[in-house]
Amino acid sequence: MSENQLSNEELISAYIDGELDTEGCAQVKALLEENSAYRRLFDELREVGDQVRLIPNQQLEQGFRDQVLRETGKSTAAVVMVPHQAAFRRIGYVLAGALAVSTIIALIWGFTRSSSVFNSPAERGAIALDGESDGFSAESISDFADGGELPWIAQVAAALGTSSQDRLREGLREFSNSPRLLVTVQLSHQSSLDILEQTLSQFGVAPSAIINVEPQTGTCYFVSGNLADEIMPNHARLVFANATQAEIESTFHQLRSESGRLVTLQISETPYDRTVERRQSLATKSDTHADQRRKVKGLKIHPVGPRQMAVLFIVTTSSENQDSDK
Amino acid sequence: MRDETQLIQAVLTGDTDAFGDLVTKYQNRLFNTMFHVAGSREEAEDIVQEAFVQAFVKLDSFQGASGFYTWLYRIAFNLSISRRRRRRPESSVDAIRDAFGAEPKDNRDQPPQRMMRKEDVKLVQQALAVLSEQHRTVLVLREIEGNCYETIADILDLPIGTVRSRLYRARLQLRDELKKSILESE
Repeated sequence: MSENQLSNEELISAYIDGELDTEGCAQVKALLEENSAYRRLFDELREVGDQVRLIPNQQLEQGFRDQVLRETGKSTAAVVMVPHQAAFRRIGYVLAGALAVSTIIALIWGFTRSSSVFNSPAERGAIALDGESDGFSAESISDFADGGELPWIAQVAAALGTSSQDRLREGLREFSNSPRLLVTVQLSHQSSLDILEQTLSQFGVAPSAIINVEPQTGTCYFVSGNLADEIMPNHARLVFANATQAEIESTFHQLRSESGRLVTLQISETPYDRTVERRQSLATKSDTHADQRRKVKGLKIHPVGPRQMAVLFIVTTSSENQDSDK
Repeated sequence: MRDETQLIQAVLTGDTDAFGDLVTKYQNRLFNTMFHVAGSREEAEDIVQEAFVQAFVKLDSFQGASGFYTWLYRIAFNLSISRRRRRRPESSVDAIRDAFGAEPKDNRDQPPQRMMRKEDVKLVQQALAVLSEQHRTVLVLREIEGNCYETIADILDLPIGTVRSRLYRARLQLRDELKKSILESE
């Protein structure tokens, strides 16, 4: 097909769309009069358009508007509580507050570590202890960034099948491209995804890379978000775990065994309201600035049911923090 | 009834109901388009919802250089691309062709009248689904949305010449796919 022919055919297509000026229209009319092949092409192209327009319009179901408004309401709340532009400062405040809180927690830890796991009911709700590694939350960001194979991929993939394995790898690749923030949720709780999304919203994180796999034991998600650049300078990692006690214990130990400093903001089996109250109380007791307290109050602990605990671990791995930890 | 500009201003001052009016105004139009671009109701609904939410959050960055709907469509279109990249393809050209049956013959010389007799919407939808994303998108924007070349170029950030050329090729491809489908269905 010559370039001239192609040009004529494009002209015919544009003529059908009414997108030609007077001169162009005259040119096409002349082509159609002179050449039967162009006339046939004209008919066919026009017919194609008619066929597409015959497809009935798709309509949304009733209630979509309200659904959207509910979602925008959540976004508004997140924006008000945690302005994206101030995300780094916010995390900085939280980390600072958390470090102060850690002093209290360290004391509790000092009592509990020598006496193994939850020796007395009074120690429950303080710090979680021994347990088998769950293998999910202890992988370092650099492991992801290197794009290396993680040993648990095969286990997860085995439970998921080939396609999910591909999705998992895809998620890891995507995460590797932007290895900023790792949020791990491992739980068989039905509302895990909602909880994760709400929590991310509160941090101002757009979940730009979520891979959602559901092995038999629970759910895990990998998220890299727009907190990335803001959180990396501190080499901080947030792990939000919403899990059973055993899972939290193992998570805690695994995180603690790493070189970074672990700050546990809250571990609690208390009901939702009391959990929030306690976190706010811890923040208030510390020497944090009023703004910091406000920010800490902005964090949310979600209700997770009577037998489950809500935990927010903040791990910092900057050299400064490591030094201060020694 | 407030016009679009008034609604946007109202939303920016905190009037959520005004945003509801914008949703009501554009939801079905956007959904209908995204249905063809994304290929399924569920995916289209998710995209449209996410697009509205993003539009709401980013509304203060809307400059008004293009119309609100054009801006909204661009958000939805980018979301569609992003979601497609993230998920494993659920269908492929091969899969769709398999669904049609035997290897298609060369039907380029089929008279248009044969096509005229087959007004089977399903066949058209299937043929549309086989097109490349680029071709399907431009065709949907033109034939279903009824946009002029300038608007399509604006939405897709393409030169008008590319829109014209792509539309022609999209029609040609759809014509061929329709002919194949019709023959194979007989």
